[in-house]
Amino acid sequence: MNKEGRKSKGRIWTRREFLKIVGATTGAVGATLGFPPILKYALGDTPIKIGVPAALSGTVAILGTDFRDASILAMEQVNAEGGILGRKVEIIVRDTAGTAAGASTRAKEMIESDKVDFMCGANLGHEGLAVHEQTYPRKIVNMCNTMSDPITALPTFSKYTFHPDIAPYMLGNVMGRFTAKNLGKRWYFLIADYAFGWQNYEGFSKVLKDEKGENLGVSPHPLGTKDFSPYIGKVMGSGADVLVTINVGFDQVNSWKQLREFGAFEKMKIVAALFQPGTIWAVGEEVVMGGYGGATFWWEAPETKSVADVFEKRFGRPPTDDALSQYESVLELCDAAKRAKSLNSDKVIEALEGHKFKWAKTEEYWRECDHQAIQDIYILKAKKAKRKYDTFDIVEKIGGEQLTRTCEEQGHRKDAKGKWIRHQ
Amino acid sequence: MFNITLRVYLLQIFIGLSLGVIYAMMASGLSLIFGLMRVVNFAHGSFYMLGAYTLVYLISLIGNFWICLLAAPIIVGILGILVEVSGIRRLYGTEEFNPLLLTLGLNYVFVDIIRIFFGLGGIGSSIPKGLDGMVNLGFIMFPAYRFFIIVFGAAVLFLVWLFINRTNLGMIVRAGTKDNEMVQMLGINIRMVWTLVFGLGITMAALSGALIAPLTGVMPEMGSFMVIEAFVVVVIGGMGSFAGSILAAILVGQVIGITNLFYPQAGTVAIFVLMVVVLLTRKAGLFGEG
Repeated sequence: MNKEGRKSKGRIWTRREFLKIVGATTGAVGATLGFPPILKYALGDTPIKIGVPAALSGTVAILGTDFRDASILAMEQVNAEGGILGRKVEIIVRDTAGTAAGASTRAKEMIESDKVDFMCGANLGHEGLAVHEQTYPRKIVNMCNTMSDPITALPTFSKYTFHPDIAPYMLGNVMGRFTAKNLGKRWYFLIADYAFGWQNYEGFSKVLKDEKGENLGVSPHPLGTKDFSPYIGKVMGSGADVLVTINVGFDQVNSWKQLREFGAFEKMKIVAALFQPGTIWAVGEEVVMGGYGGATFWWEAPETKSVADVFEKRFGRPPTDDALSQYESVLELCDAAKRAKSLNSDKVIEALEGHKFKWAKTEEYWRECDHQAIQDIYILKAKKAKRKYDTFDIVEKIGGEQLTRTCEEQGHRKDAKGKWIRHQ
Repeated sequence: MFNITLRVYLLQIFIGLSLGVIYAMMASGLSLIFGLMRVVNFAHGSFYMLGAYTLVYLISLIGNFWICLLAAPIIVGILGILVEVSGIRRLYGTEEFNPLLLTLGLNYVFVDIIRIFFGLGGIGSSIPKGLDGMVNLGFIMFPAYRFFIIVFGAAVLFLVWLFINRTNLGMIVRAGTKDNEMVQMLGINIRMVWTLVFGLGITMAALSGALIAPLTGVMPEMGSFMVIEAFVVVVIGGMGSFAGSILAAILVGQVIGITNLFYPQAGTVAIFVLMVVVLLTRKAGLFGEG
């Protein structure tokens, strides 16, 4: 191109001018496009994500729904107070269908695709272990909110996993002592054939042995059993004073309903390791009439009433033990991050260990050695409801470390400096 | 281990019988559909579930258990006919896995529809008044509703047996099971018979779901395991054999009942062991041909 030609198109830029203009333009465009995310981050538009693996379908779908709703309530309350670290909290719920495979896949998705900062959930023992296998290798703090014995004991335990729910052993211990003292010492067991059933059974059996009672046998049934009649003949012929049922969700209400149908309530006392109000309310309170069972809370207890009322107003039903535990777990995670002033896992763990808290139940604390939430266990007796949801009376409330195995029994050891040794 | 008394044995036998009747209604429908149309109906469990939900829903509207027990299977049976006419019929004569895949897909569709309309959790249902107590059989006390299931189920199965073995239409069904092409060559509208039999099979599945609902409540996934057990019964009895599936159902019910009495841990696996034993000794099942 000749000089004339260049003139006709305007002035000629030097290399330095060109670079300046390009640099300024890039800077301006970059500022326009790049700053908003930074500003968004600063203003809290990039949420802190908490993954909730929950069984929204399958035999314990009611429990999964409770997890979801309780997480949402906790999130709304935290966000209403400005979120944490200047950022909003976002709950991401994924359906595990109550299976270990589902829990594992959903947890992996939430970690790798949704980039969750924390994990909090899992309804069933096998789901809890499956999620744990996904979180601890990636150093993600996980509130494993299912009843599980191995999750807090070596070799499974990891410093990244906390256990807000009670352990089956604790439940078996409490309900076992109450049953032996008040209801009889010749027991037969009807239990769900998975971790929760067998771990509770171990707690009950140990108490029965200590109390010099008689174990007349155990009938394990598959998770999701609809018709319990094949198990009932043996129960009826066992000659037991007490039938201990260790199952959850629809398994619990179906087994009790069918035991009543066969007249078992006239022959023996019936005890549930854990009462699950959600499913009991779904099928009608008369199902558990005359029975005893354990619980991690009762919604009409003074320490819980105010939170229970807020939950009922928001979702049209009172919270269950799963809902309360999940609600507390989400709040504890958020509060720990707030206290730690960081999302860094090690700092959050430090903020949680030994911390005492009271959100919706009597005071609890995180035992440092195994991350078990030490808490009260309630013993409830089913009664004739005067109004909806008024299903139980509290018979007794027992708490403290006496309920659980010692740190040493869990396999935990201290190093020379007095710190708990962490293997993973 | 405690001593098992004669009363406990008898109780367990009657429990096995009540289970067997439910299995028989499920499995005989499945067997009829396979025998005549060579369709492995994987949606059978979801029709069982739909029968249960329809009963519970109708009771919430009408209140009368007996009317609802009659209406629920008929409604679901009509739905089954619609499914056959609009979907499965188009796949006759194609590869055998085509209707299998269609019914497998329909199973998921029905379960999800129920989840959307009735929620993920289940719904409770009560035993009707008058059948909520126990009956004295002379040698044992037995739950009245389960006794009703045995008697009512046996009556239904007898009527279906009469239909198949003592009516002209039943004769066509039997002939169609043995040689479809020959029946068509005789000028019989076999497609109409297929539709009718499909509807009958679905009605029986829905009836067994409706009968079990007051005992177990209802859940969207309730048919999933039931259909597996029903398939086991059909395989043991012989694919396509109505009498075989009834006999196998009673046998399976008793095996479950007695196994649970002696070794409950094996209660579930026992029927699969039975299936393996039967297949190893008679590969076409107890009453199957081939």
